[in-house]
Amino acid sequence: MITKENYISASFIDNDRKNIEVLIKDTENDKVISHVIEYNTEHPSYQELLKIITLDQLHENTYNKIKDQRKNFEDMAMRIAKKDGLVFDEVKLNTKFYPTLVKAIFEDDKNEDHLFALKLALFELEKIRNSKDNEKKKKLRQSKNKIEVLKIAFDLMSD
Amino acid sequence: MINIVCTGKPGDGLLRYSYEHCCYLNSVGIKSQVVIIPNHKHTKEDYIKAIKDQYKTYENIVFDVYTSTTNEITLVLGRSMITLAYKDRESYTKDQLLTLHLLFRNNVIALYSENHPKEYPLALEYFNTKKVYDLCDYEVYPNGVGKQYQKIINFDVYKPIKDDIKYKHLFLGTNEIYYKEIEKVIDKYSDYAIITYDEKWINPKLNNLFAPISNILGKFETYVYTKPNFDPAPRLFVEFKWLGKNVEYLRDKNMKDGGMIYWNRPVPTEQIYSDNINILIELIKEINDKYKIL
Repeated sequence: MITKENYISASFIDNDRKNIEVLIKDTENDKVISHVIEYNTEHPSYQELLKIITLDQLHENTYNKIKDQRKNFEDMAMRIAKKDGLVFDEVKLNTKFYPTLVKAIFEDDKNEDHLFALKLALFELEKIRNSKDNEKKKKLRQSKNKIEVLKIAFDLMSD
Repeated sequence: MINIVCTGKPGDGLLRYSYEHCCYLNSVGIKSQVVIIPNHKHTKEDYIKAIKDQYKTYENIVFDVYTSTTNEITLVLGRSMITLAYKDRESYTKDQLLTLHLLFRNNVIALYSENHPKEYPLALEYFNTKKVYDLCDYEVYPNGVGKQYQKIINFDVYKPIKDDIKYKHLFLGTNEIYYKEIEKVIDKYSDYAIITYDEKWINPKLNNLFAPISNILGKFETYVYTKPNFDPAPRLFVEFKWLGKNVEYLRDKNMKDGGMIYWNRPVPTEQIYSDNINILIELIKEINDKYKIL
């Protein structure tokens, strides 16, 4: 039986929103019990639940639960990816990042989107952006591959 | 350098306000230029013609490619210049997009407007804008933000208007909404022309003239102001009033926008213009001092 005293939370567990998981306290055994009930306005368990929360709250709980689950999943995925050197950890530079960097530069050298992102990132560097050597900056903008871009960028950085 | 960015169309008032600001700022020693990223339906030549037709000079305008340094200030005469750049980002070349990123990454002075309230914050996030300094015409936008500032026409830079009347009534139908409104009343007029673009929504049976049009102000006796929707800073009727020509105010006088507000403002004089633009100049100095730009 679902009561105000033993109720913890409730949310839908399926996309069709036909089933609801209600978490209730088992005070005797100090446990949390998952209780799945049907979304059926005639059903006595659902009617018990409606005495505690509204349908709107049920939908809101479901939304928040999905959001939390997604965030937890993303956090976990990022942790694993960083650990395996699959993504760049800006805080702690992992040596596994370098093969990725080398691959990004020397493979698919003329990829337009990558080339654009590289140029934009380089122009974020004040020394390049504010360089008085307009000719080199023009060449950097006009470069057609990543190696050429980087050569000019190194040149500008060492001026 | 002040970079006044224009991402609108060649027929837009914002292109003109941008160029006029550029002329004035340069005339008082503040190096400025208009950076135009043409709308994909228009060519560079459309913009060049629009400026050359209207103004005594054609200078300090660059198209598509400009590499700004980090201490240059970007000025937009309406927030929509940033939002349009964001919305049209897929239609630009990589060179145009790089120019826009570099310009909007800097400190930006923006005239407040409410055209794209949802997209504007997304656009700022996309361009990673350093800081926005707002200016706002509070009579037009009571809920706006920033320092009080009006968009005023700089008539000093206009070419002399050649009186060459071709039609009695001028209508402005440069978008589908304006055009549909004109169609409701046009049967009451016989000697008229509708300024528009060659788009699918125009009625070929009506007398359409395609923008840009040379000496537009000299070709008509009366402007019929019919814009049915929000008009923040009307130009044409101010221009007609400045020339002492007739204007018919053929729209809802209760509309809360720039229509009635500009209608009731005096025709701008040199003094009115400089008093107003000094607010912008002070802001530019303030930003330059803050970032110690020489």
